[in-house]
Amino acid sequence: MNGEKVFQAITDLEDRYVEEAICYAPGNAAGAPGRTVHMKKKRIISLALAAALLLALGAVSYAANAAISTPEAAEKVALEQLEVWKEMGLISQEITFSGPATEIYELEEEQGDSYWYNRLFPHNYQTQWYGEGVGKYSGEMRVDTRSGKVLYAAICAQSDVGMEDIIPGDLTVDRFCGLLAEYWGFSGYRIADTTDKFYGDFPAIDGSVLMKDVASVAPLNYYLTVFFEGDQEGAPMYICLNDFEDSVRLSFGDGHTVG
Amino acid sequence: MTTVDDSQIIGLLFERSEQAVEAMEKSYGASVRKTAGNILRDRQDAEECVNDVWLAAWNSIPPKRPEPLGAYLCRIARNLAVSKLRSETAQKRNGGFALVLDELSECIPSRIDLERELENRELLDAVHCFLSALDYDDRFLFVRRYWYADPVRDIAAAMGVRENRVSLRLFRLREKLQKQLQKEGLLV
Repeated sequence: MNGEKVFQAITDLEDRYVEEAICYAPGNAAGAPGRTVHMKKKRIISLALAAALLLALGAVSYAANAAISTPEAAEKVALEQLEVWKEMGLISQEITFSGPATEIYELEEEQGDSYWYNRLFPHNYQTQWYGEGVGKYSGEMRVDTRSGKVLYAAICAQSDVGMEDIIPGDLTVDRFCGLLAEYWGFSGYRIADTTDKFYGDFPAIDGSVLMKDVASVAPLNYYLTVFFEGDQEGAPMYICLNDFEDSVRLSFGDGHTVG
Repeated sequence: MTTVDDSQIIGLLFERSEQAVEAMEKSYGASVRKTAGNILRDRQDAEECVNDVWLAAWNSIPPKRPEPLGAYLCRIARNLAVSKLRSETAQKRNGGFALVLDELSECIPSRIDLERELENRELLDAVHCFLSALDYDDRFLFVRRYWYADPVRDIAAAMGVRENRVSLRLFRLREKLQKQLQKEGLLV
């Protein structure tokens, strides 16, 4: 098998590459300084442009858009939305991220809306709970700084768990999609086949199937494609359910940018 | 993160002190365990493999004085795990690791020149050339996925990005490697 051939061939990969990748530390990378300078320049230009535009557009407009303007505010909103989902019955009641977010960063490539001048401000925030010490549940939530809604979430439960640790046992696919439509303010939804180069090909699932059983349809994972009525240009949204040996995972909002 | 200096560990091994195993476990236990676990996908097998790594290090140091030690230990873990996997049934080569091999197959599709069977050395040189042209993030991605056989979700978590982005980037890297192999004349 060719894959084995490549895998075997790179066994003797030079130590410097193996050592460098033991843990992720981009700041220690050789050759990084040149690139950093370039990024700094780019950032300075971006900031100058942004400052000029900000002045031109007026502080009032900015203030209106930047209701969630700090990482701390984004984390607070993310945790509040988690509670909203529990109340709605979208996720299991016991889900909780223990401790503060392990990482929060801005998603600079995401925009607030389709107007070009709003593509600079504000950026959405990615809040994450990963790594050692986060407890049974780990995951991430992407907070839209304009609406205060979460556009993407991944929730993972580890060690000796089942699907019901993240999804209510009686929740059907139809009900789940209906609740998501309600949360995001769409008027309806349509479940479709998944035919995507990266996500894979999966048939549209019957809406009456229980969410907890979806992952068993396909080995390890299943991607569910949903089109929401009123969503931008009919962009599909992917819902993924994974049933790994020692963990389960739910994500929704994949491929869904603004809504 | 290294908790005991490499030179101290090697010093302990040269002194034939049993504390060396404890020091290796403390400094590199997690990395070695993960390397073995990524390939074997079985906790018990991985644990046996880790013990074999400490034994192999004990037997080879001295006379060897590997630098850097972490890469040396992870390499032993990878080799032992692959050997163990090969010696067991085909069914054992399951899930995630099979996926890594499938992905790598994309780099050398059926267009491989069968008349000139590729030598491991040629492939390795091409991969070195390929890696040297990548930036740090891409090198980290490639090596973690195809040398350490890390699951995509673990790489995404380590880098603080979404899994989709990692998968897409890996896809682009495989395409790039394939082009590199073509450029080197290793693919017809």
